[in-house]
Amino acid sequence: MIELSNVSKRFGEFQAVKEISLEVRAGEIFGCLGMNGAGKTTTIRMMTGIIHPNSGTIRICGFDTVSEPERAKAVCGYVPDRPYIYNKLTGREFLYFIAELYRMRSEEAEKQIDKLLEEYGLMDWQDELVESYSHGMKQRLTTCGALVHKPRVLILDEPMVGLDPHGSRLLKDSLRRYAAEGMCIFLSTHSLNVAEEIADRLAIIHKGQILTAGTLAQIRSNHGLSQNGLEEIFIELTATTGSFT
Amino acid sequence: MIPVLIKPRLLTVKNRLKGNYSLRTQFGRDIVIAIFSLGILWGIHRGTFEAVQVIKNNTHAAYLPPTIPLALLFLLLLVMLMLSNAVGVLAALYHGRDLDLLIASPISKLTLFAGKFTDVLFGSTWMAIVFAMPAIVAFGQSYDVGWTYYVLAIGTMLPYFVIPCALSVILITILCRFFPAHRTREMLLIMVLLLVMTAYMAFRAAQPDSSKLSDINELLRLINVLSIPQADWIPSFWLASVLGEHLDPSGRPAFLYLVLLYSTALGLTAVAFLTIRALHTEAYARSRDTRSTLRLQSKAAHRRFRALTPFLDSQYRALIGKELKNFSRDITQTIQLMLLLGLCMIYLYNFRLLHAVKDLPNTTKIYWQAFLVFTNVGMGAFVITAVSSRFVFPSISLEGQTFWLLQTSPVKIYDILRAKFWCWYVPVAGMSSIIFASGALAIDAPLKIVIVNAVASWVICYGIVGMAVGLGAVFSNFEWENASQLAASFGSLIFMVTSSIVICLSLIPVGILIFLRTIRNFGYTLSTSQWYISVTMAALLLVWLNHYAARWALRAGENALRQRMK
Repeated sequence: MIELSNVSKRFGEFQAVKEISLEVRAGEIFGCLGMNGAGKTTTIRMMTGIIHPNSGTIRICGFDTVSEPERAKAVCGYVPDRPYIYNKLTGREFLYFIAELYRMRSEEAEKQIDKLLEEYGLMDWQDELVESYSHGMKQRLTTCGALVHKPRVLILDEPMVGLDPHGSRLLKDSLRRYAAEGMCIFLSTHSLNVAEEIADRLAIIHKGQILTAGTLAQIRSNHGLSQNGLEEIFIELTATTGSFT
Repeated sequence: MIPVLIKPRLLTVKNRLKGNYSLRTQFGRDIVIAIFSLGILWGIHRGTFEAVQVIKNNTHAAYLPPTIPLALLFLLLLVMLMLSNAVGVLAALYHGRDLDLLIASPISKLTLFAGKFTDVLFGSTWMAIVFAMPAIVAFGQSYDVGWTYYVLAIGTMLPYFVIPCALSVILITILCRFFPAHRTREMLLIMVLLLVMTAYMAFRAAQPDSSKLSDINELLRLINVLSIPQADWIPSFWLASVLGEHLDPSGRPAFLYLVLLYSTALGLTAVAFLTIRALHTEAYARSRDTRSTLRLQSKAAHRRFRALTPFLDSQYRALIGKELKNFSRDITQTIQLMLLLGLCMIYLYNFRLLHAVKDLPNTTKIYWQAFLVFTNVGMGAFVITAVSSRFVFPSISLEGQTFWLLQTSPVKIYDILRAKFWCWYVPVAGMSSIIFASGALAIDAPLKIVIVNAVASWVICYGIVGMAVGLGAVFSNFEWENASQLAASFGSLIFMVTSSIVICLSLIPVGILIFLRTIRNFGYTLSTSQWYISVTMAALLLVWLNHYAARWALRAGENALRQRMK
């Protein structure tokens, strides 16, 4: 469902992402780990069509993000790391806006919006302007926005930031359920606990390159770190290739 | 501590100049801005100089001391400064992103007040200073006075600019303290409406019957008896009196007015500080109490909007609906819209005065009316450009950090621009047809001309709004600190220059139409077919020109936004 093939991105002299290739299948949660500035957000921004790669191809459900951007975006939902949304709309208006951008039928949109507002605990706030929402509520509303058009692929950039323990638990449970229903989920995080808890497969990205990828067991065995937890593995691998960027 | 509060702004400007642009690009931009600004300043200077010469040379009609035109100029400036300072104070003291950080840090109320006051004062008045200076210099040159006049001008302008800033701090703080956050907009609207109505009624009560104006001398007499600018409780009159007395002494107590200016500025600043010290904490808390703001019946409202717009494609409906809601719920936009509507009223009022020049010989009258019709189209188009540069041009940049929502949705960039275009075209065209038609009605033009004016306005608007959206995308800046800076950017300047060129070109077919109609009054009649061919050709030229300009700009905008992805 998500295919990255030799994807590179350069900003001037700075090589943000270098020759990344990976594949995420339907029904799978793929966790992308990395330190600040490792290239996770750049990779995600390329996957969602916000920026184009300098080389390589990205396909979402078979649609190329550069040559068929509208079709690729139509099947994809995106939750950014910071929930910048329209402050002067109410929560419900924001979801209507997204539903109409994705050309949803109005009855279907109404149903889905009601369901999501209920699920994410925003029903009481649906008629309030977004500017009055807390950070966590905005994050939850952004997640609703990414899900309102029932995407086949969901991409989340640091989705747990700003969520309280309840919100965090709710999201983790929801992600597992969506994956069980066949959704393909790609999430970036620097929270190793989250990755360890919900991701089926993982990739550790560092200085724009994938250092290792696979299930936790595969990563352990590939690097001869069978007794270690994800935190030790992460520190071990990133320490050998350099410190913070 | 005060410089510390201002330092982030200065460093932002410095870093932007240093980091974002290559030296060559920045240099090129600076040159363009410098040439354009100098052109405007030169225009203001020459215009004022010539006007003062007319005043000086027509003393037989009415002796007009320099204090009176200066008082008019400063009064206009004061009204504009009040509004811009009100917006600035609201942003700096109640809606600023840095306020939580500043209030949580160990700085005194005095430091906070002084830092923010300085920030608003410079931010809201620098443009007024730059554009008032050539007029003041022109007065000095006309009356051939020495350097002391210029020193005096600088010395008196400083307290004059402090007064509206301090008044705005006091009024906005009281508003925020005593009215719920969701009522602030209504309160400000009422304030602005009252201000406009009072000014209008006072102006009407103070003037003689303008329909009796027969020539320029009558116009001078009219200005001479206007009482409002000469009311001695208005600071603009104090400033005008101080400078006017230096230009042409008449025995007014200039020193008293100078003392009044400084004492009022200092007194109001002290009151503003005391207001901040007493009320800011509570007022700030109330302004942040967004829970009690607007509560809407979103579901019912959405159904109504959908029912009202069945002809709209779903994506267009989403984009247009969002744009309208964002605009109508943004208080700073509302204030500035009121300001611009006020300017439109002033334009129409002045235009009517021009027409009031009567008793001209018959031949001259025909030319005069043709000239006024032509001028109405040209001036109206420039008013629309000013409106578009404030509201339409920044519309893409105003997406700001929420632009990712559009970038990641399955909407083509061109469709985003088209939606923005239609969203703005309809209200701006509606407004412009009112301005154009009112202008034509004000000069008693025949109904046909009124209709042609209104239709021409839709066509010209098409070009102007298209260019505003397109060039707004070309020069889009999603990292703005303050939305008002978008309308005063380099891109906005380029839009105004480009728009002016297209307006001038559009005036060619409009001029042809008016010329053909005017010469009919002198017996130069065209055959029916010649007449229709000429009219059709001129109309087609007007439509093609504006359609091409809009399309070119929208395509350029689309390409620029695509380039950002690379």
